Amino acid sequence: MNEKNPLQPRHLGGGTVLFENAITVPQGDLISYLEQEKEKWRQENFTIVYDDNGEPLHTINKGGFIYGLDAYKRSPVRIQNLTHPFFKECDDRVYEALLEYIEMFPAILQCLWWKSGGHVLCYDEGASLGFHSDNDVNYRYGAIPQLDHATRNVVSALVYFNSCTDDGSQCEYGFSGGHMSIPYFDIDIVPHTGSIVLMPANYLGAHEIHEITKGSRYSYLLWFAQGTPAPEHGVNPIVSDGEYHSGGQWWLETLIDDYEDYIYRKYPNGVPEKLTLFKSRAKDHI
Amino acid sequence: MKFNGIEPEELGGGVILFKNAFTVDWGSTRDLFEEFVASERESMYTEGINPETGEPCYINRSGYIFRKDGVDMMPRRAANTHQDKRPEVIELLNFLESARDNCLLGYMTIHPLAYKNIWWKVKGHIVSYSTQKGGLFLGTHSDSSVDYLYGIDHPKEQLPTKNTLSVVMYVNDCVGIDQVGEDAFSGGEHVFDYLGITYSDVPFKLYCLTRSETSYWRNSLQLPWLVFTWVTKP
Repeated sequence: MNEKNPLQPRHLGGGTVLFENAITVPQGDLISYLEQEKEKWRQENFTIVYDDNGEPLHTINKGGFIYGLDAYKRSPVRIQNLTHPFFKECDDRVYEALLEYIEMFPAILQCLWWKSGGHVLCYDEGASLGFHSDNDVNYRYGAIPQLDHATRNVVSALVYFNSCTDDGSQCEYGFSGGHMSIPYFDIDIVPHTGSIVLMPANYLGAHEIHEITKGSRYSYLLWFAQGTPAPEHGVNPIVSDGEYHSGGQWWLETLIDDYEDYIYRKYPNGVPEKLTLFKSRAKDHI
Repeated sequence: MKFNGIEPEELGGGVILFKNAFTVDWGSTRDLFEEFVASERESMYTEGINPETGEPCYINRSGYIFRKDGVDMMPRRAANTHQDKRPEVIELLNFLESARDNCLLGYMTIHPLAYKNIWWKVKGHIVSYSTQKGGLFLGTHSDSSVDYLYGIDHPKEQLPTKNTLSVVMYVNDCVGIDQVGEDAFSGGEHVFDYLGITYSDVPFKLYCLTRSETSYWRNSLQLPWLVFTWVTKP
């Protein structure tokens, strides 16, 4: 069972909140599992092409795109279909952090309808991810993407599984580089094991991951979103059975109740009005 | 009517202020805005008596009864302005829309990635707060929320969930209470609670672009203003 520290949210600006030491990560077991999954993913998604002498030439991915032998290892790897039991704990802890996030920004509560199940993102040495926001689908006028479920994302959540050691600290699973910067608010997050970050999924939380200069960086990502189902657009949340499922979309059917429980427990002598459930538009009616 | 230029000022959290961005003739603008909001309120409600309580009430077009003081506290809005074909109305609204579009480009010099979330726009509407004519304040809210609760029917109108950027264009000025006249008001601060921003120091016409505004208005004497919104895909 994971040992829980009290969550200590720190607002870094622009809606990005850092919870340091939020969860204890079973690194040895977990990273070994993720290493295996990463190699499996590469084998399933890339084919190495050899020359007549049996020397490797380049790789081809499932879409037919050619990557150099080094280049394909510089692409971040998304690991889905997660089966390790730690991910259930991870989801639960992110959910607890979300309740604290709502306390900081209560008007967001009714913009959170469902969540996208988590996946792991792994960056090996040389990998990076350019500047982007998590609700962007690369729209251009005249070229509407068919699957635009990312436009529904409201809050992005991530959990760091290992630490950047650029500060000179020593740890077995450390890496160099790999900071996450959020330039519109001059935020630079140095990943530390067990930290959780919640931030806007829109352009205000636009971010980039700097190149990993040594080692491998592992993080877990999920999104909280809003909007009615539209399967043709890739939006099709279902009701959870209480078990952990990697991926998919899941209704947050108890979020309002859980937030109210949380807030009434925290303020037993009276909850400040601004923290209670918002029905702003309903105020127009009686 | 004159567009004065763009000098964006970052207030924090994605809220950008363009002071003195445009100038309009206050007298004619006020007359048109008053006409629009009064007409829309009149078309929405009929005054009557609540048969259960015997108190004065409003009855809307669907026959629902609303408490009179509740409706009177609501800001007056006019969304039907763009159907008006009078040349002076078209000229004013086209000018305002054009001023807004210019400021949007200024906004994107500060938050360039916003352009990828902006697919289409909704034309503006008028909102009026007046101590004499109704509309004292608007509570804290987010422009992208439809007050969803799990288990209720999904709101039929989900347009706000697509909102990316909100725009407010102020057409008259906030002043000290002793300076209030026909062209100015007191109170009516625009508060972004989570960002620690309270905006009231309005020297003249100004223009503000926001992502997801929260606002709280109080003690407003007379304040017509416009809201324009950009949104993403349905």
